[in-house]
Amino acid sequence: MIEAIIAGLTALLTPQAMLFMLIGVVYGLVIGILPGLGGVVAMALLLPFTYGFETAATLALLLGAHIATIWGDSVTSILFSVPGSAKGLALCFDGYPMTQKGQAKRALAASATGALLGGIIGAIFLALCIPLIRPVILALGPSEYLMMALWGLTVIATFSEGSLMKGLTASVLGVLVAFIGMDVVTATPRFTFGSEFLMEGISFPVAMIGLFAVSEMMKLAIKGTPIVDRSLVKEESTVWQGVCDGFSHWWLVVRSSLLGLWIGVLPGVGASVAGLAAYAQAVQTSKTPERFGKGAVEGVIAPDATMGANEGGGLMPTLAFGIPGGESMAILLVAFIGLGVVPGPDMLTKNLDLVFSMVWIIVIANIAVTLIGLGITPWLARLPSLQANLMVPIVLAVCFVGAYATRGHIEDVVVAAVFGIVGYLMDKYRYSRANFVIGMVLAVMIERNLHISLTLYGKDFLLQRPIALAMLLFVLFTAALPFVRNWRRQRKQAAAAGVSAP
Amino acid sequence: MSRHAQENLASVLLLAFFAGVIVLCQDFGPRARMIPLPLAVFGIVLTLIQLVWHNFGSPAALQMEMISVRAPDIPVADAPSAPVKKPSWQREATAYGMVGVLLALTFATGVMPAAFLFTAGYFMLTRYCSWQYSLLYAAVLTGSLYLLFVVALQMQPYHGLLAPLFP
Amino acid sequence: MKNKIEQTRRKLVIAGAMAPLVLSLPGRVMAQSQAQAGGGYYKDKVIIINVAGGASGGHARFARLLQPYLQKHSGAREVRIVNMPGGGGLKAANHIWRVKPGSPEIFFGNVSTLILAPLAGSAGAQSFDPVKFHYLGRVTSEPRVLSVGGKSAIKSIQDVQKLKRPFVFPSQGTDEDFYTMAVLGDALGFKVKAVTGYEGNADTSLAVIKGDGDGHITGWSESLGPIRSGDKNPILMVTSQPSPDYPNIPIATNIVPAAKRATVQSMATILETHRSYIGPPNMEPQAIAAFRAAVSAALSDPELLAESKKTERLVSPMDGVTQQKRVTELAKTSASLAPILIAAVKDIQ
Repeated sequence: MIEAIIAGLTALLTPQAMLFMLIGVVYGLVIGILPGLGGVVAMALLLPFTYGFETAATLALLLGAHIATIWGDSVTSILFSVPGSAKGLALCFDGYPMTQKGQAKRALAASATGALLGGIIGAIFLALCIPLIRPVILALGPSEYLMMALWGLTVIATFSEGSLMKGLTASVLGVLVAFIGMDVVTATPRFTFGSEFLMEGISFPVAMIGLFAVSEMMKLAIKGTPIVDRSLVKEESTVWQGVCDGFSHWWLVVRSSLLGLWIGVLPGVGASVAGLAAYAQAVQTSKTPERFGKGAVEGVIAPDATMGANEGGGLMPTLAFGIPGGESMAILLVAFIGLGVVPGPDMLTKNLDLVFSMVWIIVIANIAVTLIGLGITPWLARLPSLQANLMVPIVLAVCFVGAYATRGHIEDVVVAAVFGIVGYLMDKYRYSRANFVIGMVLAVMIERNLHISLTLYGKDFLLQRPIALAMLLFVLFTAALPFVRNWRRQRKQAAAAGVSAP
Repeated sequence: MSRHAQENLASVLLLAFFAGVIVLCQDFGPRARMIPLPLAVFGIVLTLIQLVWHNFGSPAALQMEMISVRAPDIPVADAPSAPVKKPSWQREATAYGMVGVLLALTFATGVMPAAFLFTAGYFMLTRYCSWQYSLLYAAVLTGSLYLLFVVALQMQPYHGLLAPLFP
Repeated sequence: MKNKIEQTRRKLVIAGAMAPLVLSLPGRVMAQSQAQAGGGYYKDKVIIINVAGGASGGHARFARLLQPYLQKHSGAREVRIVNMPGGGGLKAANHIWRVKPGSPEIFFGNVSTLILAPLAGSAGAQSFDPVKFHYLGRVTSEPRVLSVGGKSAIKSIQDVQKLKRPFVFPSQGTDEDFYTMAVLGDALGFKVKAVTGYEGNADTSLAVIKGDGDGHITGWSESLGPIRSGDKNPILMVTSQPSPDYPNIPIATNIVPAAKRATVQSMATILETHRSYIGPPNMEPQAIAAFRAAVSAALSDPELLAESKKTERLVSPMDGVTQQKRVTELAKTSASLAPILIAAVKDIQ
């Protein structure tokens, strides 16, 4: 094993591999920052250029680009509350408030450090867990994925701002919007009104562009002042503070990374759930949950650590079975085949050095992203103080081009505009946009896995799947936790009021 | 319209939306409507509770002191607000109009020309900079967008409804 | 000092301006090095290939393999690949059905979807007529294989026929594997319980390996890895040619009762139309001839054949004229499939 670890590293230490990784990382950062485009697009576009190069260099290019998009996504969430893709959503919750409080540098640095540490912890555990991969994957099935998605849903209760009814209504709306299109389970077109465009469903990145980016720009245009007015709020934080935050919350980072690894192992669960689940976990385990949503640095570190580690986890099913954990991994699989590498059980015995090359790529690419990221953070942190009249037209124009570019349908521009107005109204009347998006992300996953579980195991599928049952109990426990805490706090407050009243 | 009435209007619109979903679900098979149908009913129940409490209950009864993810209010609340020149409804209408204009431009002239016209027009109308600089900034932005999306990312540009007029 | 800052700033500006150019460089270089004057209709034009499915899909893999060779032999300035996922290829098919005359767009996808979806009454396949498309050449057709889990008690297709319960068949939705299984179940006399909703072949493959499902159908190359490693066990092929490496796997048309042979044969022929270039109904005759010639020339290019072998993307060409005839014949003979397909779709609703 030690030999494989060293062989994996030496294969990478060629000028070609290092150059390719650097190109991949820079390119991934740019793609990640653009709205609507994420790691899948980044890798898909690189794929045609990878044929004919050395294996390590090709993988360095693809994985490097993919890893860089993670932090690229976080940047716009933190600075403008505009998630580049579904993954970045969780970063808006605390990253954006930090920017508004004049802590943009700290938030960006903490997010980069979180992603770095998560990536490294994920890679180490990936290496350690190699012998366990196959049995773990074989033990999990649709019922377990269903529970994972339900756990994601419990975040909704956490985000119900003001009226719980409105929070729940928003998520119901999100779920229903996700059902627009062809239902693959029953081959039924739902809510499509005969439109060919709607048959494909509402594109998730486009809806995000509308709900967050377009509506935020509308708000900015109405307000007429920059996101952060430097005459009122000074940028007081430093990059170093953010780096220290990442290390001082080491236990949170470890927990979040392990969560990311676990989600990565479940094929098809995906990074968008990972970010939300990480945030939920950070809130639910915090001693001071009331600080979240108002600029708590933990709310930035946890999702990034989870998403960083998720990449390592996502590699597992791809390597062990040749079964990709998501679309980006599917593209990696195509590259493998192009390189003449056949994933499967052999991969973990005969091609172990290649596996370790990938582990090293994750580590080195993460370090490169963090170094570049920390280097450009001071410049990025200035962006929110740009004048509204400069920012609004530029961001809106980029958003519309981005919405069109995601699938090449002009109708998607209309979707982005409509969701922009809906997002603005939801924000105005306090129907949580975050809950809407969570409902939208999880709806299809819940529906599919519920149908599959029912067809395979019948109505009592939970009794036949003990792991799923255990997971359900865990979900119920964590879902109840904030309510119990809330009730306790209220009782305490009431008691305190009772004492002080007379 | 008062905020109270606006909230009620929002609830009524939501009720209509959920009712529409229930009607549409009637055309689906039992499996296809297994989740959307009960969910729409749940939506109606939630909205009704909200409506009733909003009009007849105490406003605090439905408040959950959970985590608020409504970030924009946080610093703004402490800071003195910007000098407001126009009434708020007028500014709001301008924001809707802005999105509408960009959408119309995109359909009429295509994605890239719309980006140019919109940014240049916005800079000029808001007097952000002189018209020469407005055109320059807009051209630089459009050029970068073109290089990134069309050249590097191989996006096929949409040419707009007016394209046939310029063969 | 000030000078130095100025210099650094200038360098930064230049670097910033160059970044998009650098990003776009690989595509340019590749395009220029391979553009050769091929003459003919497509000389110096841009061809847009709308590929069914996402960038990681099987169609995209083959479209990318052909891309440079198609450019070389057509003389086109650029052959651009656009992924058009949605509806298992129906989205792209509907799109190409409606393009304006003279459009440079060509569809690359599975011809069998174009024939099967209208037969099954699919919602997305009501607007086009498969016979009216122009078929421009097949790139590959793989035999389809029904495989079961390596640890499953089912070892042969006879075991399936003897099952006292329905055969559990994980599937994504109503794609060709779903329809093929319905036809096989009908012909071989066993019940099929289709479990739809999986995310794709990778997902159904895992379900079969784990034992959640009994078996699934994929293209031969997609199952080759797990078959070699013993994770899956092939029990039936739907093709006209037996596999030279696995001559013992029975072929569907050989084992079905005589009364059902025509139906299964018809299905097998439909499946063999597979990954092809398809032109819009209003395509100009010169364009059709030029594109068909370019596809044929590309598919016999020794460089392409070497690359296809190296990257395990094997080609099996069929020229456009033959394919056009096949599809016209199939449209007449495949009517017997319709009731079976419609019943299968109704079962999952």
